[in-house]
Amino acid sequence: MEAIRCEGLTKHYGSIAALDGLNLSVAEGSIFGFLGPNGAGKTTTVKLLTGLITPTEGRAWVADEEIESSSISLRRKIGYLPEEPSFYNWMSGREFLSFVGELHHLPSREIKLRCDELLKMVDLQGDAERRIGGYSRGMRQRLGIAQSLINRPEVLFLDEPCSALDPVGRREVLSIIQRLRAEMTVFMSSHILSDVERVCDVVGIISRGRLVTESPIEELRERYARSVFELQFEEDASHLISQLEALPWVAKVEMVRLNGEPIIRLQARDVNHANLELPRIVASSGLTLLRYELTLPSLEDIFIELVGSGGEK
Amino acid sequence: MTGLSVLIKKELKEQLKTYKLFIVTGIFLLFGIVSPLTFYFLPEFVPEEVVAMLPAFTVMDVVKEYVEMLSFMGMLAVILISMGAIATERDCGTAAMVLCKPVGRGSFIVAKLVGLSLTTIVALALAGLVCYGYTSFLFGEVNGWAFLALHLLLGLFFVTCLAVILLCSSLVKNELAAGGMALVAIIGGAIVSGIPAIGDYTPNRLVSWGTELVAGPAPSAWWAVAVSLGVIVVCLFLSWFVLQRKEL
Repeated sequence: MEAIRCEGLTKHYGSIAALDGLNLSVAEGSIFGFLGPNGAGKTTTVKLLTGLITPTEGRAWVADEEIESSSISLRRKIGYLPEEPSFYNWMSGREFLSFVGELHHLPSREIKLRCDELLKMVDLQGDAERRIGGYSRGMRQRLGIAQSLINRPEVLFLDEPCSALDPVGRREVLSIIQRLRAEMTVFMSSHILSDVERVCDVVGIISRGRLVTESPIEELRERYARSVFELQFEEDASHLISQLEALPWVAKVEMVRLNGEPIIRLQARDVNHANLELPRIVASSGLTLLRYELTLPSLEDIFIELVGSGGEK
Repeated sequence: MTGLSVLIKKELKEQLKTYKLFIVTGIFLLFGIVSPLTFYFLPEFVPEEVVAMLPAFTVMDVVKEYVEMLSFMGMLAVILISMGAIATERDCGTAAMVLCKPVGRGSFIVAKLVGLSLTTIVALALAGLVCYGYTSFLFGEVNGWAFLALHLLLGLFFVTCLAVILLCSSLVKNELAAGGMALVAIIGGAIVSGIPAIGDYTPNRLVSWGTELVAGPAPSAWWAVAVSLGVIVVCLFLSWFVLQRKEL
């Protein structure tokens, strides 16, 4: 079953296409990572799917409801956390959650229970009676997640939920998102690849308003796996980089650090050539080889390859 | 009007917790107290030769001064507390947070008007009571029913202006721009009300009708009441129409 479906969803601002014919399908119960660089069209997509803005062309469905800005029944089924959640600073955290619960027409007894449950979940019990104006950014983000969950949404939209957080805040928010797995469909936009890699099952990569690829992360890794080699030597192997860079079948060579150890990461244009020639080059270098591995690329490798090239793969 | 009652409750709470109710009430009360006291004590603050030249102040002098202060300085206060009602919420993102919930955009606007109108009406009622008390005590009998009618008409005038302010606030994201637009619209309305053929049909006629009623029997201006109600409905509709098309 699909929780989200877009058909040719397009949004123009004057002559600029913020989103250009998005076709997308998100399976029910998945955590979908919507990746893209800044200005790629992620927030526009989220706002379109939550009915906050109207498309120039195309149609979309969320939780079996066609998107319309005036659709009250759609808004009963979704939760939304904007990139920078805003609150009424004069309210306390609990007051805001109750207010959102009332907007969803929940019975007062359920509102109270749900507020307690969510405040505990986002670790804001101790600050629930404090004015939101005094909350830190991380606390506001966690309250934002809590308010988006009050109605037990079928589909939860999170727009860059971790972008403004420090590492501790980010870890907390990601762990909350992980706990939502199987409870609902989560559509999470982000430009932080490691966050998406950590919590999402499926990713869509968007660049300049167009969807470049959409696939489960593991499938994506396998699709791009054949071309990345990692080499580790006992001695300093930096001189080998310039030698490898000169070869026509090599797309990219870089020295990276893995657990503090220097590793040569090589991305091949032609894997057959690499399989034939790389062992020979290593042998002739006279260096002591500690590790030779054809690796799964990180999401970052795939992202840079796709977004950098700007083409469909 | 989905979510209207919840939003009205929130607006009323906001008026209390952000002290808007107390600020407007304080300002209006000041006018209610200052107007009668100024006229009563003025002879004591000016030289005797000037006192001899001063006319004997009457209830109507006090009422006219009170109404003038309310409709100018009071109106400024009302513009200041309401100009950001929609503009600021759109700009800072709280409108998006609320309107992605099962809430109609019409409810969002109507709740704002109700909250701000109640603040203004409470302030007006208290200022009226105080002004009535002081004026009756210091200057003699004041027609209570006429004074009540004046305040009902003033209340309608303020609510009409609030609807105009909300429309301006829904048009732009900047509260100062919204306030400026509203001020221009209200001043424009006052200028138009000075045109003899049109004046009787404008909301500003409510104020002069109310003042005339305190003085004694006065020609009615029910058309001004109808036009004011029409302006409120049209402004609410236009605000909804604009907000429906605005990107949040």
